[in-house]
Amino acid sequence: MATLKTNTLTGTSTAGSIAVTGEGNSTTTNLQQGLAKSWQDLNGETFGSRDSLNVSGNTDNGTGDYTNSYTNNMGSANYHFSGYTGDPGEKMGNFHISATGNKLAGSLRYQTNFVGNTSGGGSSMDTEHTFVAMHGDLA
Amino acid sequence: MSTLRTNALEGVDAKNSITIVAGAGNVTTTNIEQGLAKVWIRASDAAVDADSLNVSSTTDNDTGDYSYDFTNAMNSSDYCPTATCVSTVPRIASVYGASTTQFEIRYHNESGTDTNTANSNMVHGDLA
Repeated sequence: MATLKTNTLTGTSTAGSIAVTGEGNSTTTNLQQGLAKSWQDLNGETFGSRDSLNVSGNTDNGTGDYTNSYTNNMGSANYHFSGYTGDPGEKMGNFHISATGNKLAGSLRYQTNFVGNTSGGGSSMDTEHTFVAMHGDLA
Repeated sequence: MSTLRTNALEGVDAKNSITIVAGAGNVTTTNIEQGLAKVWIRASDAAVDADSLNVSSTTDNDTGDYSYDFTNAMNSSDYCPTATCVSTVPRIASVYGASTTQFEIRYHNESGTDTNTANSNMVHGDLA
């Protein structure tokens, strides 16, 4: 097996673009585009990051209301994020962005809350885990 | 275009760390290993594995309650799973347990009732 050992990869034609052959051995995909650019496991109850990539800091805006700031900004606000909650024993509800402008190239503000018909009645709630992952283009 | 052919990549200073230039500006870097998904699975509403990466087995624990075991373990339980239902009606996912070797997710409807649903899940974080 051939193993390439290097500390850094840079595209030749374009520094930020390297193609790799896909699993079907015919099509290619872009290595940089396929990488998650940020992810985090945040404890929303005690408010602390358990582990993360490219997160410079978090802001506790209130109950179930958090902001992630990126170490290296995204290229624009038009990136993909996926997120959900984990709180054993609780039936959590939406993970959502409550206002236009809360998703920026340098940060993401999001909210978590109960589902509608539990004892929480849809109210905001700090969660034991909030998980967020971003894909898209770095600046 | 230049093509480099190799079967494996490995860092020199640290075997598990390779930096890559990324981004529209062709300047900003990120880490390949940190950016790769370590687990993903598309499963049925009975936790049958349709396709996956790094999943050794699945368990249908109860209604809307599924566990997925990893082939290669994570280095701690502090990783980032994300999940989505594959359904024509709204379903909500919550992580009920995450260890180095598996994670358990539960799906319910908007009223909070546990509900079976086909599901799609992914894990980012550090392998052991």
